[in-house]
Order: sequence, then structure tokens, then C-alpha cells
Amino acid sequence: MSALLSLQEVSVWLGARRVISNASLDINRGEFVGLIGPNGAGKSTLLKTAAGLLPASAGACLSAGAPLRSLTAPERARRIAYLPQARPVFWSVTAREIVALGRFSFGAPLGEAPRDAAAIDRAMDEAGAAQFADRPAADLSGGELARVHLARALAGETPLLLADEPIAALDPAHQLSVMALLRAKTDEGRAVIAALHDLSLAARYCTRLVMLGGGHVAADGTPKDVLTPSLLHEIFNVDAAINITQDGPDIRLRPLGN
Amino acid sequence: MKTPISPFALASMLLAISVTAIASALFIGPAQFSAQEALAALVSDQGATSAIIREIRLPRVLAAWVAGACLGLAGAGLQGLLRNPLADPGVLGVSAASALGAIIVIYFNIAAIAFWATPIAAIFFALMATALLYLLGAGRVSTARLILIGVGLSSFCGALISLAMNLAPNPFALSDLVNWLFGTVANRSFRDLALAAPFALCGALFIIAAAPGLRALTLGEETAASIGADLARTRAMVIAGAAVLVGASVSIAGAIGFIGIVAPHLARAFAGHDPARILLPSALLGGAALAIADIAIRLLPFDQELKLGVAAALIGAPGFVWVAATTKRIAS
Repeated sequence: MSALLSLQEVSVWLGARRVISNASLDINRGEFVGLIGPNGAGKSTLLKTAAGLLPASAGACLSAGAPLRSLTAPERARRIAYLPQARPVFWSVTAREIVALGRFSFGAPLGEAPRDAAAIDRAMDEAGAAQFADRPAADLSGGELARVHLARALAGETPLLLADEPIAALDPAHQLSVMALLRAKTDEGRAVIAALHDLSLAARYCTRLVMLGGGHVAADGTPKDVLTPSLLHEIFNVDAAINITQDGPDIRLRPLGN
Repeated sequence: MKTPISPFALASMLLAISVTAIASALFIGPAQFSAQEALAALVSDQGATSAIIREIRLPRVLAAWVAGACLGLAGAGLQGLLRNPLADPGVLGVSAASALGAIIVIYFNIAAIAFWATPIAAIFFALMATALLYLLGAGRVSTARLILIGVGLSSFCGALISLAMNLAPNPFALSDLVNWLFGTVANRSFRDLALAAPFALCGALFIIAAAPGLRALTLGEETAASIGADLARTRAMVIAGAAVLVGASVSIAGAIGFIGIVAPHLARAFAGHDPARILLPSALLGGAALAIADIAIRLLPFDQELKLGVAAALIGAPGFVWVAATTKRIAS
């Protein structure tokens, strides 16, 4: 059976700059992949390419064996949900109306079938957004909106979720609950790729880490294999001391040369 | 949050207001008729009375309503596309280009040869303006840049209109130019309406077909594309639809501003902010507002009748400032 998502020797040029170079990845059901790397490493570009929003300049992007470019927009949206890093809301619609857009490719904007309504309510529950379902977006805090957007991405119940920094705007308690939720989704058989900056949380919750450096896949494997002092030194330019504890790895980072 | 009125109830209410406004416009004018006389003259031939009601007052108020509805719908569509409550046909330069088309035809006296030349030129120039916008990058560049291109186009057309007025050969030509520039529905006939109506309908269908895409754009272009919305199609439908609506409205009423901003803003207060759900209320509100404004200027005791576009701007411009000052930013 072909992988949920397969990137084969993918390169992406943005203008004159090569942002992704020969990246190859196979993502299967049940995997929670943490995409890590310093700023500018190409995490967001890789996710956009995998979501079919940016064309690969070279290489192939396959969704369950079918080239992403051969799928219609609704077909692609029913397979892959994408949570971008920038999440503007331009009109003060209610939280629930935002989440309902996650069912857009099922025709929800024209008429909400019972199945759509159930998926929307479930996603809001899971993301902890149900209590402000009827509040307009203008009255929601940044953290509340982040949960609404996560619910929107979950509402499509796609086999694959691509999330660009899903926990960036959240307080520690909600960071933990979102990571646990994404992990639970992958344990159910879905797959998640999340760009993350918190290496400790990535190590604790992800089943697999992909480290990007300068547009290349620098390392790909279990958190233990990827989070090594030498890779962190080479790619992130930090000195790292890593202790494996019962709660997962304890990672301490220091600037180089201290 | 207060629950918005149901879409059906809101539409029925606005339709009732529109019908009331159109009906009451039939009783108002220099010749005094009672309600019974006016109604009788409308449904059966009563000679001169019928001529006034059927051929002067009815087409005039219908022209005001259709022009307002076109502008309200075009404004709501463009605001949804550009995700900006201050966008209106004027922003993209479509109104200015359309008025320029009408004025060129008058200036070169083509209007005297063929009565249909002016409306056709208004629609044609509105379409040309949007085609130009599209070629300049509507499919590729960001929405912010599209607005800037529109501002430039608008200024350019404005300059050409000023040039035409500077060079106007005689006072009559100048007064005709003023009519198109300020906007009026005085002396409209059913012939003018019949010429514009198919365009108005076609533009309305375009915008309504883009409604789901507009709703998706609430979350920005990136998310809209990722959830399966066809942005290229949405953009093309809204731009073409707005062009045809503006051309139709300019052809029957001249250049009238601010209805495209104020009508959607009022619609949002009743129908919520969903850009798909405010389309129909914006059209009905725009129509009712312009019909009522035209009744108001006929009641004002001035020697020279106030131009409809001037009245719309007197009410609309403060509304524009109010919208600009009170629009809340949403955290992201």
C-alpha cells in the first residue's frame, strides 16, 4: 500500500532561492511527525508543498500514490488538512462558523448535513473550543482563536493533517493538551506533520522527527536518533545536554562556546 | 452574541421596504395625485396622469432602486474578495472608468447619434477596467497590490474626466458631463432600464455564484485554497460580476459613490459578518436606500434639484469615515 504522503526528491525554488533541496519523505498512518529546524530551514515551505499549495520545482508529491497536482482542490482538501502559520480572520464570524469551513470541501458552506454538524461539534470539543462556539471572532483571545483554528483543521477528518506551529500561541497547559490530542489522532490511525520549535515537547509526543537544515533533510528517525548533541550543534548552532528521564528526554540548550 | 435575523425574514423585510419606497415614489412630484388616482393611473390608462406615473415616476424610482441594488451587491462582493470593509467599486477604479466611458461618448457627441451608446460605453469601460486589472495581475499578485492598482486606475480615469471637462466645448456639454459625474436618475425611461437590466441580472448571478469562495476567503487566501476553494474562479467571478453591475448602474444613474460601502456595512449589522450571507441583503438595502434617497431629494424645497449622487455622498461619506474608524481588528 502506498504511503499517505510521499515526497520524492522534492526541490522548491522561491524566486532565485532554493528553499527545499532534494527532500524525500514517506508518511504513513499512525505517524506523528515533528518537523524541526531553525528559522529559515524550510519547514513552512515544505508543509505548503506537501499541502499542494506550492508547486514543487522538481520531484514528485504523491498522496496515496496519486500526484497532488492531479487531484482537484476539493479532493485534495478531503485528504489533507493544512493549518498555516499565519491564521488571519477577516470578518467577525462566530467560532463555529470558522470551524464549519473545515468541512468546505464536503459542501458544508451551502448546507450543513448532520454528518458535517457532528464532525464540527466533535472537533470543537476536542480542541477545547466548544465553550465559545457562538462568540464572534473579534471577541476571542489569541489563544482561543488558535484552538478554533485547530478545530477547523480537525473538522475535515482528513487522513493527514499538516500543522505549522500549532502550539505557538498557546499557554503551557494548552500546549500539552494540543500535543496529546494530535498524538491521540495519530494513535487512531491518522497522520500528523507538525512544525515545532519546542524540542522537548516534540521529543515527548512525536513518533518521528524530521530535522531540516538549509532546505535539506538533515535527519529523519525516532526522537532519540534525531536529537543528538552533534546534530543539534551542526543544524541549530547550540550546545545540547540530553538526559533521558521517565517523562521523556530532558534537553538543555546553551549557546555555542559557553 | 445576538443571533442574526433569519436570512428569509431579513430578505422579506428589506423587500417590503423596497416595495413601499417604490410605491410611495409614485405619489410624489410636482403634479399632485391622491393614492387612489396614482394607483388607478398605474393599472389603467388615465391619459396624462398615467403618462406621468408610468413614464416618468415609475421608471425613475425603479432606476434608482436597480442602480442602488447593483452598487450594494458589487460592493458586498468586492469587500468579500478583498477582505476589506472599505472596498467598493470605486476602490478598483471601476466606477471611474465606467463614468469615463459615458463621458467620452457624450464628449464626442456619439450619444446624439445612438441613444444606446452611453450605457454600452459605461458597461464596456467597466469591463475594460477589470480586464486590465486582471491582466495586471489579479491572478498572481496579492490583494493589497490589487487595491493599489485600482487606486492608480481610479486617479487616471479621474484625470481624464477632468480633462474632458476642461476642454468641454459648450455649457450644455458641461452640464451633461456633470449629470454623469454626480449621478442622477431624473428623466430615465423604461428604455434605459431595459438596456441595463440584462447586465444587472448577469452580474448578480456572477457574484452569487462566487458566494462559497467568498466565505472561504474569510480565513485568508492560504487557508481558503487549502480547504478546497477555487480562488482563481472566485476572483474572476467577482471582478467580472462587479464590472457588469457597476457598468449597468452607471448607465442608468451615472457615478454614485458610497452605496457599495454603506449597504454591506448595514447588512452586516443584521445578517452577521459572513460575506456570503450579506450579498442579498446588501443588494436589497442598496436598492431601498437609493430609492428612498431619490424620494428625499424630490421633497427638498430647492429651486435646483439636488443630484442623487450628491445626496448619496452627503449621507455615505460620513458613513465611510465611521466604518473606517470603528472597524475592529481581529487577533491572529
